[in-house]
Formats: sequence, C-alpha cells, structure tokens
Amino acid sequence: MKIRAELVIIFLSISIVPLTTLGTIISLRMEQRITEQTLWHMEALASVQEQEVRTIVANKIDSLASFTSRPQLTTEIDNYIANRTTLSKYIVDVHLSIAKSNNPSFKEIYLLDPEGIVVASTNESEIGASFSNSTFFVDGKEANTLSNFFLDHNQQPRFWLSGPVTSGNRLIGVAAVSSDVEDFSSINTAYARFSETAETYLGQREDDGDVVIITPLRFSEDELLTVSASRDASTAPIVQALEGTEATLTNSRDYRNEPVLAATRYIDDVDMGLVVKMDRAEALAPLYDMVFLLFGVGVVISTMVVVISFLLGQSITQPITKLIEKTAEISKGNLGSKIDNVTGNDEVKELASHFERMRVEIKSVHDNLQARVHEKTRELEFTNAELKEKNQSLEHANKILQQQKELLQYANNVLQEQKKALQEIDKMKAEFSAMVTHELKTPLVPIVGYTSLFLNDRLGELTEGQKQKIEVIHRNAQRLTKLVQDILDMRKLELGTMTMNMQQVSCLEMIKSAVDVARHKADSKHVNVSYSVREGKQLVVNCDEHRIIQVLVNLLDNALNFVQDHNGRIEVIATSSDSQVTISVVDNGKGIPREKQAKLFTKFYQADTSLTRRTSGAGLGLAISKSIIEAHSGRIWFQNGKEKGSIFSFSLPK
Amino acid sequence: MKSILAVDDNKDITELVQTMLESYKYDCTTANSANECLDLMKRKNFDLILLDLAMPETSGLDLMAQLKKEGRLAENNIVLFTASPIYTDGDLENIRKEYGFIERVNKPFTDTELISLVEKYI
Repeated sequence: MKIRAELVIIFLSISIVPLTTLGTIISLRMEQRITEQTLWHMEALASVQEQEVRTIVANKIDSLASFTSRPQLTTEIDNYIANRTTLSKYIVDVHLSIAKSNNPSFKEIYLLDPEGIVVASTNESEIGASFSNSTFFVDGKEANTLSNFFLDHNQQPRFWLSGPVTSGNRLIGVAAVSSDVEDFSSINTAYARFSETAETYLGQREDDGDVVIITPLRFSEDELLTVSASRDASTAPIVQALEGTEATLTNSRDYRNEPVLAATRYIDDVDMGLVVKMDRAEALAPLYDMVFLLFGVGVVISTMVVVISFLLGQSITQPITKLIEKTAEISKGNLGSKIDNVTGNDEVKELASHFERMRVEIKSVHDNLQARVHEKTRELEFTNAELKEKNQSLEHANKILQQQKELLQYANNVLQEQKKALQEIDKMKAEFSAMVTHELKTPLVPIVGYTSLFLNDRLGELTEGQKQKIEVIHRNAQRLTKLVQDILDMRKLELGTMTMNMQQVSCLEMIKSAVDVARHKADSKHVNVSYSVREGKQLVVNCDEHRIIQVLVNLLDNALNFVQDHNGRIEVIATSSDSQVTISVVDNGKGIPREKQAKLFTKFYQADTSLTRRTSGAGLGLAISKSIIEAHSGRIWFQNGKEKGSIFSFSLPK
Repeated sequence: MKSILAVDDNKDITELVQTMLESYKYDCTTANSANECLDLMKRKNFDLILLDLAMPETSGLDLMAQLKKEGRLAENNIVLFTASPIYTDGDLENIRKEYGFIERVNKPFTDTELISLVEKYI
C-alpha cells in the first residue's frame, strides 16, 4: 500500500473513531435526558389537565344543582305534583332559560315527575314522554350524576346530567340536562402555542370496548375518532389510560401512528381516560440538531485530516517517488539518467546519493562491456564475412566436385558394364579353353602312346635312324601336352577355380617325387641332381601335394635348362623355421642377368630367348608356380648363386 | 594270364591300350561304351578295369554309381583314365572316397607309365 493511502487511513481512524464514540455516547445520554424531561412535563401537564377535567365536571354538576335548588321552581313543581294543577309555563321557562344561560354546555333541559314523565322541557315536543326506564332517570333520582356519552340526532356527543328535585326530603321530580363537550375543548388548545405537536384529549369506552375520543383533535378533522382497544391496546396511550394505567410512556404511538412521549390519567368519577402527549420528533429535535451538528463537524474534521495527511504523505513520498522513477528508468537500461534534484529528508538525500554512485558504477561497467561487445561483434562480423566467402568458394568447389562425381559415376557405370561384359567373355573363354584343352589332349594320347611303344621296341625292332625320328615325334608330343596342361592351369589359377587339396605332407616325399619326374631329363643331360632336407627328415607341411610337386618339377626343369651338360649340378634344399618351411632349388648354371630378374615370374616370359628352341614350355612355368605358392599364402623368389648360378626358393607357412 | 578290360568311347585309345598291354603279355578286352562294359562284366571277371571318366551317354562316373548300386563295386579294381580339365584334384579325391577307384592315369601316357601301374595292382 502506498504511504500516502496508509497515512490517510491512520489519521482518519484516529480522528473519526473518538469523535463517533463521543457523539454516540452524548447523543444516547441526551436522548435519555430529554425524554425524561419531556415525560416529566407530560406528567405535570396530565395532573393539571386532570384537575381541569374534574373542575369542568364539577362545574356542570354545580350548574345542575343550582337549577334544581331554585325555590320558586321547586315550589311550582311541588304544587303541580301535589295538586295536579297546571304548571306555570312562564315560571318554568324563566328558570330553564336561566339555567341554560348559566352553563353554555346545557343544550336541552327536561323536568320529569317521579314516574319519569316529562312535565316541562326546553324541547316542548318531548313534554309528556316517559323516560322511566332510562339510566339517567334512575341514577338521577339518587344523586347528581354525569352519564357516559351518547350521540344525539346530529351525531354530536352528549352527556346526560341528571339529579333529583326535592322539596324538603321528598323527591318531587328529576332534572335531566343534555350537555355537550364544548367545555372540554379547552384542555386541548391550552398548549398549542408552546409546542408544535403537544395535545391533550379525553376518551371514553363504548359498550363494545372500543375507545372513542370525545374531545376535538389537533391533527384530525374527524370527530369522535374510534380507537380499537383490542388492536392498539399495547401502544395507544388512550387505551392504557382507560385501563387505569397512570404512567409515562416512551414507546407509544398516537392515532396518526407517530411515535410519541405520553402521560396518561384515568378519571374514575366520570370513567374517562386522559392523555397528554408530544411527538418524540419534536421532543428530541434539539438532540437531532446536535447530532447533525456533530456529523457536520465530523465531516469537516475528516476532510481536514484527509487533506493534511495527503499533503504530509506527499511531502514524505515525493522524493521517494522521484527516486523510484529514476531507478525505474535506470532499470529499463537508461543508465545515463542522472539522479539529482531529489529533495527531502537527510535519509532520502543520502539514499539518492548512494543510488547515484551505484548508477555511475554500473554505467561505467556497462559502457566498458558495451565497448567490448561492439568490438567482439565487429570481429565476429568480419569472421562471418570471411566464412561466408569461404563457404561460397567451398560451395563452388563442391559443385565442381559434384559434377566430377557425376562424371565419374557415369564412367564407373560404363566401366561396370564393360567389366560385366568382360567377365562374361572371361567365363566363355574359360569354358572354351577347358573344352579346347580336352580336345587337344585326346589326339595326343595315341601319338604319345604309340611312339613310346616304338621307342621301347615293343612293336618290333627299328633302326637307330628310325628310332631317332620317332623320338622327335614323341618329345614334341610331350612338349605339346605340357603346353596344353600349363595353359589349362594358368586359366584355372587366373579364374580362381583351382582348389587346393590341403593335407599334411612330408617335404622329403614331395622332393623325391619331383626329382623322380626330372630324373629322365637329368640323366639324358648327365646332370647330377641331389637333395637334402635339413632339420630332420620328418619335416611336414600343410599343402596340396600334387601342386607343390608341380612347382618343384617346374623349378627343376628350369634349372636343367640352365645348367651345362655333364658339368651341371642341381641341389634341392629344404629348411625350416618356427613358422615356415623354405625349399630352394640351387643350380650352377649361367645365372640370370640382373635386368631380367624383375620379370621372371610374369607370364609368357623366358629369361633366355636363345634357349627357347631347346627348352619346352610356353613361359608359363614360373607364373603358374608363383600363383600356386601364393594360393598357399606362401612366397616365391629368386637369388643369384654365391659364385654363379641361380637359386629359386619358395616358402610355405607351417 | 591276367585279364584287363579297357573302356573308352574313343576306339583309337582302346586299341592303343590293347596294343600296349598285349605287347607286355596281358590279356586285354576293349569296350567303347558303358553298356558294352556292363555286358562284358556279366560274362567274365576282369582282374583290372581301365575306365575313361568322360564318355557320352553313360559316363564312367555313372557306371561306377550303377556298380555301387548293384553291390559289385568292391570286387573290381578300377583305374581311371582322365584327360578332362573339368575334374580337379579335389573332385577326383571325392570320387575316390565315394567309389574307391585305386589309381588315376593322366592322358596322354607312355607304355612304361601304364605298365608300371598295371604291374602295381596285378
């Protein structure tokens, strides 16, 4: 809550609460006092008015008594009663008129004989009428009485005033007077000038119990106002009066239903109720005036308090508000907004100066930071631009690469297609060569077979010359066989269709088999072929026996081609290490020139073309050997001999 | 005298084998098809049969399969001729395991090669 609002509320509470309490106490006390005072007045008035009513009634009775005690009249009446003579109308009328003029409330006067017959009256039409049963006649015979009210033929309230007419102690008649209520009217108007609402009235019960107010009323034109006794019993003061209550009433309501302060009296002689009352409103008017005044004062004080506290609050909060505005501005980021011109108390001024110092500090930090951010941003922008440039060039390069890639893909596709076509051709070639070699071999069978029979003299004796020719046929047929076989093997190795039948094989046995094959050719050249297996005769290796023998035969055949007849020497040596077995074929031939060594193991290559005519083979032997050794995960290589000659070696994993 | 049966679809080859064997004093009968071979085997017991693997219609392999089915395989010593590049060493090893032929001869062959083999088994 804002300080100003808080101040207003506090001050307002401080000023209004006691004022209200005081006002309430005073007004309650005053109300009580005024009510009491008024009721005392009412009480006093009631006593006075009661006396007044009694006086009026006594006056009426006195007037009647003076009428009935007139000697001339009584004598006249007595004579009349005793002698039954005619009444002197003159005398009677004189006395009647005197009585009427003595008391203005006397309206009609009747003189009745002891039997109740009217003998004389101001109303001559009634002379001779009988009232022997009427209450006023019966009561009047006994004493002077005032009857309850009744209504005459004009609906005006009247009382019967009746009393005995005597001569000595002898009753000679009854005088009855019909009297109106005019003489009671004075009690009501007596206080009109002192008060706005005060009044006094008289009431009498009717036969049914309701109450009729018989005197004129100040606030009602109605004469003879009837008050319902049953309905208004508790509140109507007149009803209470007639029930015999003589009291002061604070909570009554009058015939207008106005709250009134009242005092009541019951006049037993005439069975009448008397009420003196005044409106509460009038009685308490001074109190209301005071309360109104107090309220006015309260409003004025409150207004003053509000204004003063508002001004006070403003004088306190204004510098703070200003400080708030300034700090709010700073918190929004406007650090340049200087905090000055803050007026107010020392504390506020100090606070403002601290804020100012804080702002200056923050501003310097902020400015510093801003500068660094600017710098970094510039750097970043520069880097960004560079990166963009690089990116663009990269994109360009990428595009070019993409194009090249596409080209390569296209080329690749073409190559793939070509490869497929080539593979197809390769397959056809393999099938073709298999078929061809089979077909080529078949005709060689009889040639080799028959020539061998001739050479072994199995088909009869031939001359040495004939044998020599047959031998040429035989040798060339064998050479052709070897060529066909080599080509077939090469194809198999190239296509990878040659499967290796791996077994644990003795190296010594394989070398023996290979040497046996080469023996025939070696013998014919008178070349010594020896072999040795180092590191134990039981040297065993995991390989395809036939293929390794084929390799050894190839190497031996090669060596035989290189060594000279008669002096040639060939040695096969097998050695072993932890992981492999190495077999070398060493000869003492003329060796191989360095420049030709590199191509030794390639297809269709022959180291010495001059030897071609002499040696068999298509130049496939070493290439086939290399493929077989590599299929065993081994290695084959060439070295020069120590002095001369060649060393062909291969190794196989154990 | 030991009797040998040579089976090959090529007549030149059966004739050559006959010549070779007879020159070394062996009795040799020839057959040029699998059916002929089976007929001859019904009439006579041979000490050795030289069988070509690749023959049209019924091959040497089929013939051995039939002999095995008839339970007559064990009583015959069979040597296979082959010049075919279709059968690798591995294939032949499998055929040996299945049918139990005793030796192979690669075509072409000399008389000494053939006779040393025949002598080995007879």
